[in-house]
Amino acid sequence: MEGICKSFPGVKALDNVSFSVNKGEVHGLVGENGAGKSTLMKIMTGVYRADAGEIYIEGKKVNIDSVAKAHELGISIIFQEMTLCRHMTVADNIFIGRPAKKGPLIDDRQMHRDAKKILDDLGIDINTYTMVGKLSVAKQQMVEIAKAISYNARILVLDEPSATLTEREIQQLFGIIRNLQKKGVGMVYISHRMEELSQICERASVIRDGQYIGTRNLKEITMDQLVNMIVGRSLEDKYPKYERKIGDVVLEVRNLKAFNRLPLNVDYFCVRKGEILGISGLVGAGRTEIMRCVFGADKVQTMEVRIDGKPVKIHSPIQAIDNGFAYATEDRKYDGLAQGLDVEYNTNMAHLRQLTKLGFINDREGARNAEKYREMLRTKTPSIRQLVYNLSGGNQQKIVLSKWLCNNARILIVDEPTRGIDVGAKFEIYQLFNRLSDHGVVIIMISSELPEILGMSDRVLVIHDGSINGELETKKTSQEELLYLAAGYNKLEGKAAPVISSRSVS
Amino acid sequence: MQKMEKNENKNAFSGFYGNLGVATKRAISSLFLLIALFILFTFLRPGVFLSTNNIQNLLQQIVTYAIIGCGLTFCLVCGGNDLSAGASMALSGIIVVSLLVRGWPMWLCIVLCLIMGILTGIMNGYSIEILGVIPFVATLGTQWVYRGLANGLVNGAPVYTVDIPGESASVVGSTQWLFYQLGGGRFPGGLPYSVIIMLVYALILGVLLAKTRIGRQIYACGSNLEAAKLSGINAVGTRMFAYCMSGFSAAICGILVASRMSSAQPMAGNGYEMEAIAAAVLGGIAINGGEGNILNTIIGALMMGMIRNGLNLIGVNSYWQQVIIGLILVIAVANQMRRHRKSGSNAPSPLQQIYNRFFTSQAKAG
Repeated sequence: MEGICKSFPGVKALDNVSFSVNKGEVHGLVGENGAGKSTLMKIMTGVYRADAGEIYIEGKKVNIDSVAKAHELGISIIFQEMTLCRHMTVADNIFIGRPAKKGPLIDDRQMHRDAKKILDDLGIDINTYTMVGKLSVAKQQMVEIAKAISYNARILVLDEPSATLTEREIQQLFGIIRNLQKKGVGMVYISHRMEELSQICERASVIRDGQYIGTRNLKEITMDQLVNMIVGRSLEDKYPKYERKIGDVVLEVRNLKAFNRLPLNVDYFCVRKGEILGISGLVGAGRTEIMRCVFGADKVQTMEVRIDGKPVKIHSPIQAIDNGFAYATEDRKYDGLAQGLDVEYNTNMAHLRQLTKLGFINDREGARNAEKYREMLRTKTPSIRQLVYNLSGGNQQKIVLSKWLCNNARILIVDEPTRGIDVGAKFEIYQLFNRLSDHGVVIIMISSELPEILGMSDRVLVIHDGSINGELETKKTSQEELLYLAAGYNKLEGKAAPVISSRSVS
Repeated sequence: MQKMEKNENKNAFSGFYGNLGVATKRAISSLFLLIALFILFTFLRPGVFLSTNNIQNLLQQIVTYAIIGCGLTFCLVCGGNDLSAGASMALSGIIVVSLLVRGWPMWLCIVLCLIMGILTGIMNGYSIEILGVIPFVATLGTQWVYRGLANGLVNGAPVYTVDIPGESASVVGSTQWLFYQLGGGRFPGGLPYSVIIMLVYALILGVLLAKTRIGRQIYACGSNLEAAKLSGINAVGTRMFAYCMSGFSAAICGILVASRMSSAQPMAGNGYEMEAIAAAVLGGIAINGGEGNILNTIIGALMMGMIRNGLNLIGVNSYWQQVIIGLILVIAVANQMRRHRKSGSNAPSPLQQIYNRFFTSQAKAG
């Protein structure tokens, strides 16, 4: 791809960007959120059309004007969001729209045989008769890859494939990628995780603010240098060092029992003033579910919550908010933001009561409020009237946080606060957390990224199977120990989970 | 590509225009269409279309679906729908006239009627939010129940205001005269009172939707229900309120129509809810919720009225009018879809959302 330019209303998304992938290469594509990676890939796969620039495949100039054309040329993309039909079998999904036929009827047998062959070739072990909806996210992704390969893909784009996978699943994915490499498929691997890039890619290209910055051989460059290229300024450290002043216990939760999507059983945990409590565990262990219960969003069978030693009743988010809770959710699109409304509406969404006089909203106050938090968090948006879906992930996350910050929350629950956010924005968000804890705000941080948990929190709770399997002092633990507990190996070995705070604290 | 540039230019003259909400921008573009229609019909039927008489007629015609449409806007913006408006309008007409015929004081009859409207909303809201019935079925059920009640109460025969005890409508000051003035009365110049009632009502509802807390909550619920719930918004109450507004508007409309016709017909208002939805969509209310304001609905109602009226004047009969309006409606929604696709958002497509609206209950089941 050479000299690609693309503009969207109000922004120049790509400016004269060039990019190339060799046969059998895994090429890393990195850049901050909103830098233009996805746009570039969408141009390559025919979702968007470039305003200027040319695309060559094996030296021949091609005109990719639709997704179908891209398929024809052997270019496939695997998006972060799955695009499979959940109610159809694996084989149906792989051959969707072009099933094997016997006369006018679909030849199911043949189709499943073909699907099996593709999966076996890739070293994926999935029954082709399984409904896709029943597979784990990782397996679904593998089906996606198989589907792409079945189009005889020569170039495969993986857009943050590891975002929702666990460590082991990522290794499986890498196995498949290496398999494809041997078959001569060129791949573009987009990821925010630097460690992964060094594992799987030979070269990486950096895009910043729609500009092509450079391509480097990953063996010749240190991670810090790469990060510098991405951010355009040096980051002293990924996690701001900070000495936190920890006070008395603010929040205590006891006897949490619930059965919604999975059984939860939490005996006791507490958080202190000015502390950041990390919640670690595998995806699906029940981390989010426990916090949803504490926030009153899900029903519980029993739960005792105390704030400053006083019992409080929390049956709904409204009560939780009244008690100073705030909950920045994991999925901005699903339950974090009203994407079709503007920045101002979203910022004030949990703050309406304070803006209301006799039932009327004070618009000027609302705008001032939105403007204030936009400046405070340095959210990049042309105006507070911009619709939220036009913003990049990092900026959307800032809106989620400003929504809660303006409520003067005392207990801030953040669920995967830096998912899909670039390095620079991450650092800003960490600094913000530090500033908040300075003001005595209690932060509960759910995160799948172990370095983030270790870098930011003071204490870690490891969740396994809906209950707490270990409480650790961050300074005295390691990634290995967290993983060990998260996977529940201590239970297999018959060891008790480590505990620090005892019930007698209160 | 040209479209892109156009969009850029639009953003370029930021300032005032950029600060307007999406719905207002959409209202402005609908307004241009409205003006175009106006000019078109003015040229097609010079003299006739622009005559005071005709304009007054046009306004009188749109009163019904503008009022119902305003209430429905609340439901639509909130991400719901209400199919019971027409039936509830008929029932309210029947109730008000029947009570008047029994000699009840007029203010009481009207108040009772309005209360009935609110109860309709509560009933709809209860089955949707608490029982978890999907909006399509819940409001369709209410529609049947109300139509049945309207027919059953009077055995299918209309009730006439001439049966109201007291002096006849020609006597100024009598109950019959007073009641007729509501919907049929005109200012000296010939402008109907009901047009003013409609405008004032639309203004109140517009302010309610745009400037109050409950209005904000309606937008939040319509745009992302989950996010709204987690932001501490009482989603059940908010959506219930939207259904109440719709019921209330239908009741007002029922009274006005009964007054103008000097009678209450049990089959009145048949299909009005669809006309109102059509008007709202024409004016630019997003069919997928979370967008739109009262101005959109009023412009949409004006457009509907103008198309009807204009087609009448150029001699197209009402059957063909329906064909034309149906086609226009599909084009309007198709246009919304196109805009939605262009915006590149990953939210479910409008088609999906329409489906969701009718066939899934967004209330928390269980």
